[in-house]
Formats: sequence, C-alpha cells, structure tokens
Amino acid sequence: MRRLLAGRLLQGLAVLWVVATLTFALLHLAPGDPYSYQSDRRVAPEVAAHWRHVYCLDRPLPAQYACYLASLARGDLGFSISQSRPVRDILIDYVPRTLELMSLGLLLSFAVGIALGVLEARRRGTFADWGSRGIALFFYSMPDFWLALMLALVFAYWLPIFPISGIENVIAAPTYGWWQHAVDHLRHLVLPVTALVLMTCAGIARFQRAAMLDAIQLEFVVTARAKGVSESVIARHHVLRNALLPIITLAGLTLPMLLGGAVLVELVFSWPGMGFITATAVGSRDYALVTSSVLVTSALVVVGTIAADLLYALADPRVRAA
Amino acid sequence: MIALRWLCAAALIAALCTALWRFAHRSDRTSRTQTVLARYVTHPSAMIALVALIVLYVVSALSPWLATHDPIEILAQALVNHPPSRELLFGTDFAGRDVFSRVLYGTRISLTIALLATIVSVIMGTAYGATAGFVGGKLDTVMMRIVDAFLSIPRIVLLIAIGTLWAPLSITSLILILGLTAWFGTSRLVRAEVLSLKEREMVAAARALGARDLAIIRRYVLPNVLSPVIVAATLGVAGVIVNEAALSYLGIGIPDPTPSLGNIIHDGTPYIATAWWVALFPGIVLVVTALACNLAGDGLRDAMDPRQVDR
Repeated sequence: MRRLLAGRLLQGLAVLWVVATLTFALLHLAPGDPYSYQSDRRVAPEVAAHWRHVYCLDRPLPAQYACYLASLARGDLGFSISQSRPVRDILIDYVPRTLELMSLGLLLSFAVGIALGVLEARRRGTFADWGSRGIALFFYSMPDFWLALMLALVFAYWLPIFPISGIENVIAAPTYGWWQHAVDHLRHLVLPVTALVLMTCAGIARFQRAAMLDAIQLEFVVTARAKGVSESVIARHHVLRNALLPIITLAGLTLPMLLGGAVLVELVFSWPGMGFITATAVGSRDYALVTSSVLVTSALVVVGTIAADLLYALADPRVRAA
Repeated sequence: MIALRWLCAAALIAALCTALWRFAHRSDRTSRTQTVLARYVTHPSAMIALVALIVLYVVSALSPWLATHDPIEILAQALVNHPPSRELLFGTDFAGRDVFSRVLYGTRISLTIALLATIVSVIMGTAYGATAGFVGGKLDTVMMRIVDAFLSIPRIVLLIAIGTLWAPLSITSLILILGLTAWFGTSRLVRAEVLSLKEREMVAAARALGARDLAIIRRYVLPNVLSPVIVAATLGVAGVIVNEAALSYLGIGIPDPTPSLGNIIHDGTPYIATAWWVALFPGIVLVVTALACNLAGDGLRDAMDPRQVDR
C-alpha cells in the first residue's frame, strides 16, 4: 500500500513536471513574454523590467527554465499584470470557490449517474432504459456554456426561481442572519451545479450500466439466482458492489472534464472561481495567470487521480494485498 | 424563390439518403464496408444520426445559396434584436443582422473547422500511438507519460491558454490548435491496439519474410486499427465542434463579423433576457451536430465490432 502510494506520487510529480515544461515552452514560444506586453499601457516599463528580472526573463534560456521550475517549486506562480498582485494570492482567493462547485458537482453527478446506470441495467431494453440513455446523451452532447446559458434563461429570467449570477445576494446579504446566508448561498449554487451534473452524469451512467451488465454475467450471480435470492437483493448485494469498483477509476477520469466544464459554467454564472478568473484573463492577455491555471487545474486532476487510485486499492482487497 | 432552393436541397438530401440505403441493402455483400454498412442501417438511432449529419453537411455546403440574407449585412437600425418572424426566421441580433443566415454560414464554418481539425488529430494520434506501440521500450514510456500529462490538463483550459498567448488566431491556426489538442485519446487507443497486433503471427511471418518496419505498419497494423480510429474520429468531431464554439464564445476563436456557431451565441449572451433567439438557435444546431456525431459514433462501433453490441 505504502509502495503503491509512493509510486503514484512519483508518477504524479513526473506528470506535473512535464506540464510545467509544457507551460514554459508555451510561454517561451508565444510572442512577447508575460511582462513585456506592450499595448497594456497600465504597466510602466520599469515595473515590467522589475518583474522580468525577478523571473529571470533577462537571462539565457536554460537559466530561465531552471528559474521557472525553482519558482514553481517555491509555490511562486508569477505576477498577474491585470490584477497587479501575485498569481498565488489570486488563486488562494478563487480556487476554493471552484473546489466547492466541483466537489458538489462530482458528488451529485456520481449519485445521479450511478442511480441511472443501475436503473438502465436492470430495465435493460425497456422504454425506461432507452429514454434515460437518450436524455442523458442529449445533455452530454450539449456545449457546457450553452446549457448554462439556457438554464439561466429558463430558471432565472423566464421563471425567476434562482438567482442569475454570483455567490450571494449582494444587496440583501448584510442584513442576513447565518442561516439566511446559507440558504442564499445554496440558491446561488443550484444552477451552476445543475449544469455540471447534467453534462457529466451521462458518461457515468453509461459506464455504470456497462459495469452492471458485466457483473450480471458472473457465476455467483447465477448461483444466487438459482438459490432463489430476490432480484433486488442480487442487484444490490451481488451486482452493484462489484460494479462500483471500476467506477472509482472513472472519478479520476471525470475530473478534467468537470474542471473544464466549470470554466465556462463559472463564466456564465459569474461564479468567482478559477475558471471565471481564467476566462476573464483572456481579455487582458494575462500570460502568468492563464498559464498558472493550466498548471493548477492539471495539479488538481493529478491529485484527484491519485486519490481515486488509493480509493480503488482500499476498496479492492486483491489490490490492497499486493 | 428561396423556398424553391430549399426544396432542391431537400431533394438532394433525399437522393443521397436513398442511394446510401440502396448501397447498404445490395444483396451481394462481399466487401467489409458493405457488411458494416448493412449492420449500421439496422441501428435506428444511428440511422437518424446519419440522416441528420447528411442534412447538416448538405445545408451548410449550400449555405450561400440557401441563406435569406447576407450574414454580415446590417439590415436596418429599426431591426435590432427583432424577434423571429416570417421574414426573419430566427430574428436579428444586436447589430441588426439576420440570425438565420448567420447560423447557416456559421454552421458551415464550424463544421469545416471541426472536420479538418479532426483529420489533423486523427493523423497525429495514429502516427504517435503507432510509433509508441510499435517501437516500445523506453521511447514508449516517455511518449505515453507525455500523453498522460496532456490528458491531465482540461482541454478547454489548454485551449484558452494557447488562444490567449497567440491572441488573434487565423482560421488555419485555429484548426491546427484544435486538432493538435484533440489527439491524446486517439493515440492511447492506437497504441493499445498496436501492442496487441504486434504479437500476431502475421507480423512475425511478415518479418520472417524480410519486411521492413514501415511496410509492416502500413500493410498489417494500420488497416487493423482503422475501425477504432474511425469511431474515435466520429466521436471526436462532436468534441472539436463544441470546443471551437467555446473558444469563439470566449472571443478567441473566429473573430467577429464572420459568423461561427460559438460567436453568434457570444453576441446573444448580453441580450439573453430580451433577445433569447440569438443564443438559442445556434445552440440547437450545435446540440444536434454533437448528438448526431455521438450517435453515429456509437452506431459505427456496434457495426464494426459485433462483439460489442449493446454496450
């Protein structure tokens, strides 16, 4: 177990190193550098020169690369020109909001996806199976930003049930008690989380359905059935428990998709998370901020994958023993 | 006049569909393509998807001929954010341009970009995966770790970063960027397939006869990885078209006067509460395209690999 963890951590670090090299290459190949962007008149030449010196951009390439890796290792992600503060401070403000949205989205989409998959596998070939798969594929095919936009149109403009944007009601919030704050915050979460769940649960349901259909063919299921165990008990105790194992791996694979989806969903709902800040950094061509978000999202994905692997090892006694 | 043209287009679509149907149902099933097609047409959802794709491609190919207005012409100041009517089928946008014609032209651009980018990604993914799988050893490990790293970055974040760094993207570079960020999955698929093909007797026999590596890859390996690659490409078109739309929606894809499905939605977003039609219709076209690609991909997978039916 400990060796597995160490191995996966090393692999994760290697992946992050490749990603860091990639962002360095991108920065180097792009026209200009993070602090020489000429048309941004708000940046005085002396300020730009200062940051170029701090991040070694006035030195030869190998030194730049070493300097880049060293500053990343220190947790220094550069200086955001559009917001005039270190990228790390910006991320500390915005990443928790994304994590909140993501973890809720991940939890709910797995709950919904697994439930749908189990239902589809048990009612295989019926109208419920077809209908549920069709609807799920429909939402899966939707561009995330458009789905978010349509949710906002229907449930915020046409039927004003949920707030359109932000994380709280800015006007009324100061007068709220703590539970009113909580309710208000939850209401702001509903639409973005719904968008994320609708777009990811289809893939999970599909995977779960296939895993269930695999597990149904196993011998002990036939034996259980021959012994007269009821179908619902078989589905719960024999099939689902075995079909849940592969789905843990899927959690790691769903993360990039969910994080990517969160970028545009956050933009549409003005949810002050990392995706929102990345999307708004596009307009100001904030190199440091944009490339840092590449690094941070991939770090989140790597951590998520390692967590999924460990969970798998914990859940599967065959792997745990190895 | 325009109605007549649409009738012609409909006739063309009908003719294409009938020809395809006839071809799939020919009694002498000798070629593999025909067997696959015959199996494909028995799949109702895949058939609907194929017809939808034919409709989309024919209509978008004929868009200059079928459009009711000039897509970038500003009709009249009085017609700003005009709701859909008989004259203006999908209404007008904030600048007073006909959304229907914009959607037609935009579909053409988006489909073209998606198709070309998918071709780029398929070539790249196949070449990369085949090299890694065939050569094996240390090179394989290094190449696959690089793919792992790329796969750990959410694709849209990578695209945003590239788009920001090289801000005004030309259509060619947009195609290249979309294609070059979409091949990672394909390369894994091809590598896995090549790894198993490499061990087959036919490859050993060819090698014993003195065939070179490249010849083996071309004659024995590539034809056998074709079917999973075709399926991946079909599914890939859906992904690319959505990503292109997302980039244009963010304002780093196709620049403004030229319509693309993404930037029409971008134009409609600030006015969503009053002029919902601007953002709604291009989105519907996007969903239909992506859905059709996904269904067609599933159908192709089932048709090409009979063992995998109902998965």
